[in-house]
Amino acid sequence: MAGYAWPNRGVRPYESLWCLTQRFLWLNRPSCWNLVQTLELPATNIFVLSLICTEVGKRRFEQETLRRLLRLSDLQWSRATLDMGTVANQTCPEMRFCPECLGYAYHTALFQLLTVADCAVHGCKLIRGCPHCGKDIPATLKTCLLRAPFACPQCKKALAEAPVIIDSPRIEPHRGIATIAHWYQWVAGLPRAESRPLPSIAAKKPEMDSPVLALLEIAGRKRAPDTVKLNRQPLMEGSVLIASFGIGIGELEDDLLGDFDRERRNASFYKSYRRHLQKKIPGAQGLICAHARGLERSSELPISTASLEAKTAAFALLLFRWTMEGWDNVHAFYRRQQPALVSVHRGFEIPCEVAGLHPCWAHSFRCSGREHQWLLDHFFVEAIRCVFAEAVSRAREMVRSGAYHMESLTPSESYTRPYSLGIFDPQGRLEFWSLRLGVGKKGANMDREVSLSGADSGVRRAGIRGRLALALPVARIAAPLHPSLVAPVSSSGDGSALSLAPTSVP
Amino acid sequence: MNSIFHLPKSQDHPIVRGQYALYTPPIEEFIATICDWIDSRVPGGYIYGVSRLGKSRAVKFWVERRLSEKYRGALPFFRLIYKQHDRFSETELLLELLGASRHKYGKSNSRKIMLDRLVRLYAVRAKNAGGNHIVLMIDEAQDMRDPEYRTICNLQNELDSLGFQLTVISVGSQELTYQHEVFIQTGDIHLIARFMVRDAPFRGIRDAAELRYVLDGYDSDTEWPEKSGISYTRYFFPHAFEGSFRIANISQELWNLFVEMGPHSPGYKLEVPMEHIAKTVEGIFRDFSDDRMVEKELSQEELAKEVEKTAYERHMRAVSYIPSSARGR
Repeated sequence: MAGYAWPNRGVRPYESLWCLTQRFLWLNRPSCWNLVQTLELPATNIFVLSLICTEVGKRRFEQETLRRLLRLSDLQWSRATLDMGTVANQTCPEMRFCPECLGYAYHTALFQLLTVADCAVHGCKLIRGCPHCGKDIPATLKTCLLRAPFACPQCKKALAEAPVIIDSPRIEPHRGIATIAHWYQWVAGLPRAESRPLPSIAAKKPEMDSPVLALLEIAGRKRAPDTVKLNRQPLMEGSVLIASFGIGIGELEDDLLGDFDRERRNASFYKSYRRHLQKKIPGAQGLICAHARGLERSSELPISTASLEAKTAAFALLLFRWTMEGWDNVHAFYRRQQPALVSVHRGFEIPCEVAGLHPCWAHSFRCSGREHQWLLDHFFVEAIRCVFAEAVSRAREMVRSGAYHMESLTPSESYTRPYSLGIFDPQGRLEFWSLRLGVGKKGANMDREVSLSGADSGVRRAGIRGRLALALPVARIAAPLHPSLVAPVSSSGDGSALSLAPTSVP
Repeated sequence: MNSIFHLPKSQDHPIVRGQYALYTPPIEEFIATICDWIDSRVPGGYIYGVSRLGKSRAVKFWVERRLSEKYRGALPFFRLIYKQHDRFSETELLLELLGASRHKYGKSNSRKIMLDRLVRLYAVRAKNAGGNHIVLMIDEAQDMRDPEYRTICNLQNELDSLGFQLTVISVGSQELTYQHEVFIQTGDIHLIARFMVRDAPFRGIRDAAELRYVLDGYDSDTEWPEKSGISYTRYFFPHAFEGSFRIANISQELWNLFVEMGPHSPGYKLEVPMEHIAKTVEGIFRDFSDDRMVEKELSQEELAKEVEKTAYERHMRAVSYIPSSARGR
């Protein structure tokens, strides 16, 4: 490469962009200004650029110059970084190394995956940060790296010997690394429609990986390699709902519904669901009326205070309706002046967008119009169930503390938010999967089987077979391919899957 | 007949622009000497010779090409034309070396960073070539003093610590031999031991046969436009060339003139600088070029006039005053 010091056979299999960039910086010692000119990018972009996922926050910018500078082919470039759309919060934000590989001035982006604990080549445990002082080494292209490239920014000790950086030893493509990469590649390219991944729980448990991969592993019927330590525990503790699109779904138009029709359809689902809940929570109507008379007297509720569960359920319904119907105040409801459901101001669409429950369709995911509608129905119903679950969660806190207030719920970062997935099985049949974490089977299906105790415990225990008429001719529990993966999967509450028959549409 | 013969003489012709170099017997010897040093992995040596002999042309046009052919691209070669400064500056020297290496990143606030860039560029080039040996040729090296050599010494040491060998070949006027003496007198023996391990003179054209070899280059070994098959002589004397006119045919007469007009001190052995040969031939091409001339005969007077124009006599008189030891005799 004219003008730069860069080896002819510079790139090794799956070598990370971080490693390549560090080697380039070490070999050429550019200044900040040099780098700005070379990469033809503003410094504000360069010095916050993540070298693991080539993203600056949510911004993306042209990095073709960097690719050409390092003489990476398209394939090498794709292998040098991680796709944040796939691995999202499962990467270590600071650098992780295999000490043996570091001796060869080698690092692969796969080492950043929290699911990978050991080096697939040497089998040794990956270490986080500097091998000498243990301090974190940033994965971004910070200016401190220009002063001491391929060295620890804290203790300044070199991470690899100079002769090794100049003449980096060849590393043969290793099967272990390739296997991991291929599996993640499969995950990234898996044709699916999905809601936004589950909320990050990294704050509580930094090394915890997302259970989304575990769900994809089952739903996609491709077992992760043994070197990828997927955390399947949340699947066991959470709730997995599976439904399959089959025959007898009814006569839907093959064309996609327009926005207006879609809204009407969603409104119908919402109303059916609301009626279902109102039936199951008989004290709710009274509570809402009482509450409407004055929030300050909310403690004087027509529900026995002994029945905390009943109070919770009733207040949850109130919160749910407040959110979904976009109320300004409870009085509007009390005076029966609630806005029409088919209105631009109604609330029952908002949570889907804000909370990341709206499906994103992968380019490779192709389905018929009917299948599309079927999936949208399922995503929507899961979304409103999620809002109710969130309402239950908030109501429980309020009942416990005795401090009531009305609020609009946006369960974007809540455990109650499901991860919903539309996917084709190996036979080409469309499936709907939904995973809700941490709430357990009981919590996930509270809207189906409200278990009330105390004075109002006479409420009938009803499944969700009601006006929603969730007849189950098409419902089916998907059987995972791998026997070892069967155990974590639990079906929906009554052993049946939620399926929306077209008859439920008013 | 080829239509190019009727075209006006192009201002882009290498003869007109003075941008060409013929392969001469002295250059052959010069390159053979360098190759011997390289094969011996000598850390440094110098080539000296009086001015106008064609050293710089040889360095610019021939050395890299010939080394590339001989070592099949397995030997990184860098060439620096040293520029004299009023006051020595290591930064300037490093900057010039980086510039000569065509490194994209030049100046830095830190000399250490500049040296690092240079060392790593050389090392990577050597690795890319599949070896660990690098050649740095410094032209106009007669102006270099001990601080400059110390900087090059640091470069060599850094490369050595990484397992690479740097051969530094200094090319300059006869003053280089004086520098050698100065280093001995001032006790900088280590610099001699590194950069002046070997030395060799660069000579001029010594007899009519060599002159004929050189002039034959204009007739047959040159070509312009590229891949046209038209030699320089043919370009300037198209019709005459179709006949039997060759510039090499005047080599004996021209040599006689050089001898006649050269110094006649006792014991002085004539070595005609390439500059004067080239300027004479260029003058003939420029002044006597005629598209319609079928045969061209150059008189003795015309030739003498062309030689005179090159200030040959004056230059050779000055050269004759240089001690023979410094001329490589």
